[in-house]
Amino acid sequence: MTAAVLAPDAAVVDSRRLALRDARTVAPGLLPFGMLLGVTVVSTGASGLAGVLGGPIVYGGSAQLTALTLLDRGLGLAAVVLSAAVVNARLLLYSAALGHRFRAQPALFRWLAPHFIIDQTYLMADSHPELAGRDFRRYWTWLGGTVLVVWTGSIALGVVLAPMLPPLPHLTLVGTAMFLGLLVPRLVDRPAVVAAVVGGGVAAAVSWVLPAAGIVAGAVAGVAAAMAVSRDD
Amino acid sequence: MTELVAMLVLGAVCWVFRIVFVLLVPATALPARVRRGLDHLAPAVLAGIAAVELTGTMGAGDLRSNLLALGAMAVVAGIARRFGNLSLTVVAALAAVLAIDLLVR
Repeated sequence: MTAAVLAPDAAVVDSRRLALRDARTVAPGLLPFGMLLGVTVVSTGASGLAGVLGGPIVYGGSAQLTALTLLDRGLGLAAVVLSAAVVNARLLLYSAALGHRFRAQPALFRWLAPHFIIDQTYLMADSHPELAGRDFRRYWTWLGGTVLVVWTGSIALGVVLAPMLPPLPHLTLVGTAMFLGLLVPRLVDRPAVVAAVVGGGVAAAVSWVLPAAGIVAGAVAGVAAAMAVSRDD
Repeated sequence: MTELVAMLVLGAVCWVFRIVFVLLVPATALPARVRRGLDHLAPAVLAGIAAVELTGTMGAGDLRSNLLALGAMAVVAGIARRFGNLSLTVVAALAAVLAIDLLVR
């Protein structure tokens, strides 16, 4: 066999390397949020096992946090799931935005891989529109899998370290900073700025009245405003 | 046990959200206008998440720590704009959080 035959496909290696680089980029922002979730699991008296298993099962920190907090307040299962589902309703938007990239993939990938859709993976994949077919499949599997491991590990770490950690009420700001860091480079044209200003403003306003619906309301309003501005331009 | 059941049911609901436009309704079936609008989703949702997280943190603190947190986030946004380096942005935020929660409060 020649060296050329033995050498791994360059595109495959690149998509894997790209995925690991992107996972490394978002990991520092995920870690504090996951730990905070783990600490919350302990402080609400919830089962640590349910908290840690909920990481990969729900794969959505804000929805899981909402569910655990509402269960702690004594709400019924249906009300808890409904409220937490509203928090994660933005997954519908991500599904619509990424849907075309899953369309021509094998059936198993189309059924299972959408589970990796979260804020960070959507945003990272959105930055690489050139990846398609096998490259996208390889990229998405490595990115989603690695982020899932980091996420679940950080929740477990929070559960274990909870009794030793000092109170850090502003720890969530590290996650906020990650989203700001992803947002700022995208503000390159008028529609993007309008989407961000309207999206942020509406999300903040709605979250005062109905915290669970803030993000999805902001996203829809921001997209609508950007579309209106694009039409004017 | 209730928590685990809640996680399983919530996980199933979230999975359905994730597959809606992958398996159930092809994203190509959406009107072209809506598909074009989704190009603007990333900045809208990022700003929305940051705003909601910030207002949530504000609601839980006193005026002094709220002002410190807002100032810290303004500095962090400036660092993100100046250097365009996500790791540096997150490390700056972590330093600010530790300073606010361990030294200032």
